[in-house]
Amino acid sequence: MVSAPASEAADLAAAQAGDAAAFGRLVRAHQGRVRRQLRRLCDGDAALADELAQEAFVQAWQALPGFRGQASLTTWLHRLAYTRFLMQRRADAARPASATDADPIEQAAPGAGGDPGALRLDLMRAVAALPADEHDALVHCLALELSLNEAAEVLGVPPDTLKSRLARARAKLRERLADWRHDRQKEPS
Amino acid sequence: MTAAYMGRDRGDEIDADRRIEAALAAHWAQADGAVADGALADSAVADDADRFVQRVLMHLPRRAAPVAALDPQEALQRLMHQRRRNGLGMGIEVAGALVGIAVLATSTMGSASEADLLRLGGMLALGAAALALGLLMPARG
Repeated sequence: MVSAPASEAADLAAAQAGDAAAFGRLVRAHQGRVRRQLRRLCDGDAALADELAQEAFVQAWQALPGFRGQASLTTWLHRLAYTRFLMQRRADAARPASATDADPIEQAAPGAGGDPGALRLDLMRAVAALPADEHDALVHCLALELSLNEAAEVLGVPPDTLKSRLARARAKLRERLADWRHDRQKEPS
Repeated sequence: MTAAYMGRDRGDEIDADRRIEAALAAHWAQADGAVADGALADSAVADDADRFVQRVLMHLPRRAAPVAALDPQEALQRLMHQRRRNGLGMGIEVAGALVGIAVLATSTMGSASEADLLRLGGMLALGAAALALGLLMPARG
């Protein structure tokens, strides 16, 4: 159920005053976008993404009385979710790497030929191999259909910085996926 | 990078970007799984969303309602409670200071005169009075 703006405003006011049921309706309306954002940031790890989304919404509940509407609720929620994701990423980076953590992207050569599965794998590898800031720029600008300004707000960077990160990410993907060529038959499914 | 794919001009670059973005969109759509926006989705997706909402609601910590949202009587009670807590905090600080003084006094007791002990007794009595005051004043509002 997607709330109409008027009812969302009413739910927002009620949730700010402590109405958990109204907050539940807000979660229902926004969970899809936030979970998608995190699944894409987590490269498809749905369990981790949902855990982070849950924590982000709990944090939103606690911070909601301070929400003054300078940003849209959607952008604000995305920002909370992204902040939670960054904390997780930092914790993962601080964790000593084990043998099972070996990065398959760095180990595997790009797939060859017209196998759609291999091409999809190439794509996943190419995206996951991007530097973190460029990966996040790509996810927020392309996958979430946020405007440049909204994405910049979520990521906490100036729009121009985001624009150049996006350009670098696109250039790297073009380079890494150069072997796709113009053969339409080779497009991934 | 192959010239055939990349092309030599901006037009080919844009074409390459579009193909990559289309492939990315397909990949992400597949990765989305059951996540979708409520009413637009089928029942399984709606159930998944409902379960997620329930999980979030189960984990919500208790949050105090803003004072403005309370009726005046409840707001007054909360204010009194807050002041009582502040008073208790102050009382604990004073008690801590008293204990400190007592420890100090005990360590110098051997060389203390009767006048010193009287002064110490007076300080302790004053401290106790401050403690009582800290505890009682907020309760009176």
